[in-house]
Amino acid sequence: MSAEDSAPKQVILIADDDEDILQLVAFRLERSGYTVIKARDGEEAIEAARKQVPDLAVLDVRMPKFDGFEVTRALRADEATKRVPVILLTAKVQDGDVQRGFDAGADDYVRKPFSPQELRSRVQAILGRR
Amino acid sequence: MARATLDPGPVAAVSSADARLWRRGAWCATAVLAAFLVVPDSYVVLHAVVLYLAVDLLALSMVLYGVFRYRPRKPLAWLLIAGGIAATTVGDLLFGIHQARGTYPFPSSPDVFYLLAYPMYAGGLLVASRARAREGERGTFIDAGIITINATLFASLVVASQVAENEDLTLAGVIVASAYPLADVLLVAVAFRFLLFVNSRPVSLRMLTLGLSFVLLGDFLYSARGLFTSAGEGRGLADALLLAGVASIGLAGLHPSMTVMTAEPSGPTPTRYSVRRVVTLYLISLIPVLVLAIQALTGNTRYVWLTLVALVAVAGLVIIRFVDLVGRTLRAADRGSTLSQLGSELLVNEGREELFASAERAAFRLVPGGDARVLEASVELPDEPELYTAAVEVDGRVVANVVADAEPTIEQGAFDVLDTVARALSLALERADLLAVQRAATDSLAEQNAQLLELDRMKDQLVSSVSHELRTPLTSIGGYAEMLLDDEFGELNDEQKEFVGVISRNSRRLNRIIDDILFAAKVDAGKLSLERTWIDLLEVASASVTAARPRAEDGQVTVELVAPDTVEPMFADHTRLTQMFDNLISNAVKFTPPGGTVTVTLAGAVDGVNVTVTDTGVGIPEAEHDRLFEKFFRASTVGAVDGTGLGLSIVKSIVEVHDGTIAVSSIEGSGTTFTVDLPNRPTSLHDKEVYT
Repeated sequence: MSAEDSAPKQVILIADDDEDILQLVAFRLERSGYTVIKARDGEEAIEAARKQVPDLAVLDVRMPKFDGFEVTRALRADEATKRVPVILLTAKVQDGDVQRGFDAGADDYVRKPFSPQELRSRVQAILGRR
Repeated sequence: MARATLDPGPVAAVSSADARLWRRGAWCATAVLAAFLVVPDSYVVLHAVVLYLAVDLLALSMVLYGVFRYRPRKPLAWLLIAGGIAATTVGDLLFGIHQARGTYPFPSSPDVFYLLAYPMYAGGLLVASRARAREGERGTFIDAGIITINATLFASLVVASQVAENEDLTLAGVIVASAYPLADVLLVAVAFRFLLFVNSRPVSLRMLTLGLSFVLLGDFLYSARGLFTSAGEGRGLADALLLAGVASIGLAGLHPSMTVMTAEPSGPTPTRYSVRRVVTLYLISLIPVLVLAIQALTGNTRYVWLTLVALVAVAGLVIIRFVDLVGRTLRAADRGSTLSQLGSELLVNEGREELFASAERAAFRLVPGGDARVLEASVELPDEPELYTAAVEVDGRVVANVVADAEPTIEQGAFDVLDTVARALSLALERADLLAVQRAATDSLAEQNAQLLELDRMKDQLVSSVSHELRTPLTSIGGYAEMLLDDEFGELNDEQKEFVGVISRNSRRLNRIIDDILFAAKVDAGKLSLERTWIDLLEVASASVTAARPRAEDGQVTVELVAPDTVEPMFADHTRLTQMFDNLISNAVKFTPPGGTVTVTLAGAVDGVNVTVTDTGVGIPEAEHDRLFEKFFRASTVGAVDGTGLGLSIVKSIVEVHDGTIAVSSIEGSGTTFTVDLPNRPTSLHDKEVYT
């Protein structure tokens, strides 16, 4: 699982307004060999995705400007980012939120608080890598 | 309730002094009459002059004293009657002188006075009729007319027989002899018109009726037997009847109830047709038939045409009376429907203005041709005597008046119906007031309810957002701790690992507490919904037991599962039942000291599964069993073991939404058993799922 194995490295877009969590996810994924692009709100996330289409996006549901659902819908609406897999980070407990996420086009979700290991496993599962 | 401007006339209270006076008068009259009957007519002066005049003068003085003593309204009525007695007295005096001389001239000067008495009696009765004109039904006019026609027929026959059978009569004699029955007819007509009209029958009116009847009977004897011109047999009886008649009229005037004759009328009251009245009317109506029958039997048909004319006239009057009655009935029906319509309008409406308008419309319809209004109490009542007023009271306070012109009101007999309108309006207003009070109370309750709902919503919102806000820092705490424990970011020494492990464990615990609080809030809000599928409860229990073992082994507690090979499938929420087992087992493990055992049993039951979780732990005091499932309640035996006190309340909620029951038995110091009975399928569907 060394980072040098695969070239070029897969790019993951992470969006969360909480700097600590952003950092946590970034550490974990970078350490697992991915390139991470960080965004601190929904708008930034959409811009970043347009600039460079990521291989996967990890989006917090609750974010300023655009929330995770809206960003997901925006990605799905754009031809370039239409197929980018999305994992939502949700702190909501209502099952309705999970449903809303899938409706918006998300591929998976992870409930806060999550274990970084678990998140990495989900990412790897989607990207088909071990 | 009505401040009626037309009060019934003052009913003379009979004082004992009045009664005594009248009894004395009655004794005197009886004594003189008895003397008249006892004294043989050979004592001409005593018999025909002294006693005769004694009766006359006694009667006259009684009427005059009655007028003086009781001061009737419109005394003219009684004064005219007294005048009649006075005329009779003069006649008797003059006739007595003739008798004393042994002569019986006919016609003579006394006849002039005698005949003068009739119009005076009639005049008195007419005045009385006018005084009470507002009373009674106008239909009684017609009744009186029918009687009068028959009386006229009857009298005509008497007159005719007089003229035909008495050849001694001069022309003057014929005229005078005919005048008596005709005067009787006049009296009959007037008397019946009055007596049928007035519904009350006090002693005075009874005496007057009796007196007039005696006079008429005496006259009949005179005429029928041709006593005018002879001192024939029966003259004594006829005279006694006439004297008794005069005495009775006198006593009528002395009785305290004599004021009733001209009293203020009490308003129209429907004529009561007693059996006696109907029979009397019927018998009187038979007179023409009788006359015809007699003529047919005797072959003497001289009066057939007269009788037929009388019959035709009576038939006409009967028809008019019938039409009058039909009209009256229809008006009563119309009145009834107006009142019932008013009743429903008053029930439907609540606004004061609408209620007043309904009442006014009804009053207007009930008094055709009259100006009926509803005046608020604040409006000063017009000071007109010709107004009928019925007060509308709410809580004993006059708030309005139903006002109508008295004249049409009385004519239509709409008197008491206006009272009914006023009473109905009173009730409707009281009802409207009560409704308003009730509505205000309901409104304020609804407002409070809305506020409570809003508070409840805010509480839910708070719980949800606080939980959410807590999870974000928890993610960082737990996540970074985990990363530290991961060797990838550099190795920690054993002590450091232990410390970070504590942080990691507690962040997970905090997260569970948040879960519990959210779950409890969800249950409270009634928002706990189930995702039921057909599950294998044995698999759920096994999984929970397996999951609990690592931690139990840390505390040297053994967890056992005792169950049959299979259990019936259950239509239930897998996640929730897992939560139930987790809570029960982890609870049991927490409170069991090292070396103890936690036993989970599953057994099939009727249409369900029986689950027990038994520990060999500290136990729970019996007194606390009832409160054990309350939120945040923790048994006194928990000691230093941590927890929120939510676990068992969550278990209970889960069991209950599955239509199951939970019970606890415990011996302090030796262990606790929780027993859960779950049905295989819900007995009542909490959720919309259809289980197949």
